[in-house]
Amino acid sequence: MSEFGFGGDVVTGRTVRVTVPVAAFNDLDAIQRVQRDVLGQLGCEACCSGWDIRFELARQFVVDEQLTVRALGPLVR
Amino acid sequence: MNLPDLGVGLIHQPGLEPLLEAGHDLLDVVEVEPQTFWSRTDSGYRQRTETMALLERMPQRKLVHGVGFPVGGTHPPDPAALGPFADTIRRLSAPWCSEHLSFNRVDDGGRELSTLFLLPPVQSPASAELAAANIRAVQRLLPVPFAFETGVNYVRPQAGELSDGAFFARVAERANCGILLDLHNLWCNERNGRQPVLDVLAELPLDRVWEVHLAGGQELDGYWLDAHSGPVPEALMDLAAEVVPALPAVRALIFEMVPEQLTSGRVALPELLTQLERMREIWALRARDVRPAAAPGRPAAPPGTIELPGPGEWEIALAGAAAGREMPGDLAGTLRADPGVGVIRRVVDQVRAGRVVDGLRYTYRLVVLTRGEERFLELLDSFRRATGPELLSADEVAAFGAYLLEHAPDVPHLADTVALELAALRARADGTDQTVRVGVDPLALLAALGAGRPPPPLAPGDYRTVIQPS
Repeated sequence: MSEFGFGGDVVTGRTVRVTVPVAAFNDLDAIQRVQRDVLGQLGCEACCSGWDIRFELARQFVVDEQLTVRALGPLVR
Repeated sequence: MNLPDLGVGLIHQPGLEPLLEAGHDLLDVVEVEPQTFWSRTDSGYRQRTETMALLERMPQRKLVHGVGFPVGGTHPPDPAALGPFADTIRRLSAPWCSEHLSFNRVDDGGRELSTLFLLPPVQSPASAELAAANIRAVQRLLPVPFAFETGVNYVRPQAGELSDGAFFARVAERANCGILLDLHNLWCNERNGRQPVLDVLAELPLDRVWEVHLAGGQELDGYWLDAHSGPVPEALMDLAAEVVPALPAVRALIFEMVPEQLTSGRVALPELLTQLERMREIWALRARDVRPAAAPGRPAAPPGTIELPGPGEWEIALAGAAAGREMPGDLAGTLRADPGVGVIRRVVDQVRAGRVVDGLRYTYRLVVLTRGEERFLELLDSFRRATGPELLSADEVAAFGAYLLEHAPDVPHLADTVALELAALRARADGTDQTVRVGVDPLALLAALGAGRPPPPLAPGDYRTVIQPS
């Protein structure tokens, strides 16, 4: 089991069976501390008739190879 | 209508738990938006059982507020959605429920299209009759009384339309239903050039107002948006203090905010707690013998000399204009030229951007880190122009994944990353293991992207990856 909660083991010569708990798709994110449920990923968005900030939040957590958070230009697109 | 007095409450969305916990003593009621935790199955919709269990454990009373079958359009509410909606009402013992006086689907040559936004109906007598018929049909299928929400409307009033207040009043009386008075919506409408809030109230049957919504907003392109983006503006809170005591049948005062504002730290918890205290003060202003505020005589119905479009014609034209489609006709031209429709277009685009990065966050990072953000934005723009929005997020995310595979084959590890993320969404939706074969070590790929780094060189292999729901 890795530090991210993954597990893997060799099943056949070149095939590897890997187990990934679905929560890891949220939890392994070492930079973005926002813990979210699946709201919006599956069902209808809640009735928000205003500005959706999920894209802005996603843009804030991209870092370069030196682990520096990169400014990505104007937020509104 | 003999409804229980519930008090001050908060909309429930995952991510608002810290406010629910810290504000425990300030909250009498939690309002649930059930469609936000549904996923679609072959036969209808599936509720997340863990979310329902969490809601059932909360000590507060519950209300159920629909966000998926608005009652203001030519598409009647989907019976497949009303079943689980009614089930949620029963399980949570909600004393009444509500939905929006809007439309969110249109017919496009026999194909149903989602607008991804609750759009306003044309405010004509025919449209009011249509909405009232929808509500009467819904009421027959639901176990508790129904109220419609007074909607935000960024579109300019059309010549010959009923006023906002007259339209709401006509629907409520024809449907014999309640009104969820969303004061922030009406405040947005007033700030954006529509009927002033107090004039709307003067036309409403106030004894039908069972519930009030409050929220915060923000500006975009000179418009005040119903963004649910933070605390209630002070001026609106003052207005609520004036209005709520004059509502003889109001039973709940609910605050709405999107959870991302709290989880991202943009809005601080103490500020929200102070606001809940203020809402309780306003709630305490109600007097049991209060009568509706003296209202001027209700205006006569408009003369009807100006011919308005039919509800269906209006829906096609507004949905098309909001999607940026070129359509023939004077109405389409009028709506296309309306800056408020332009605002809707920008908001819808942003919701679609939010959906795809929410559902495909690693894919987003992969494209940005390996090909640059400009490339991602070009792909996103072309996707939005080539396809209409889907009603459900998962469908839109899958469509964007497929679009990327076709239009960005040069992005390294794209197929594997998309496959892993879509499998994760299916695992969440179905609650079952999902197996996907990928060509590189998924652990190394996801770990790098999770840390915000480009993937390192990865040796090819055959990795049978099982995504487990958790």
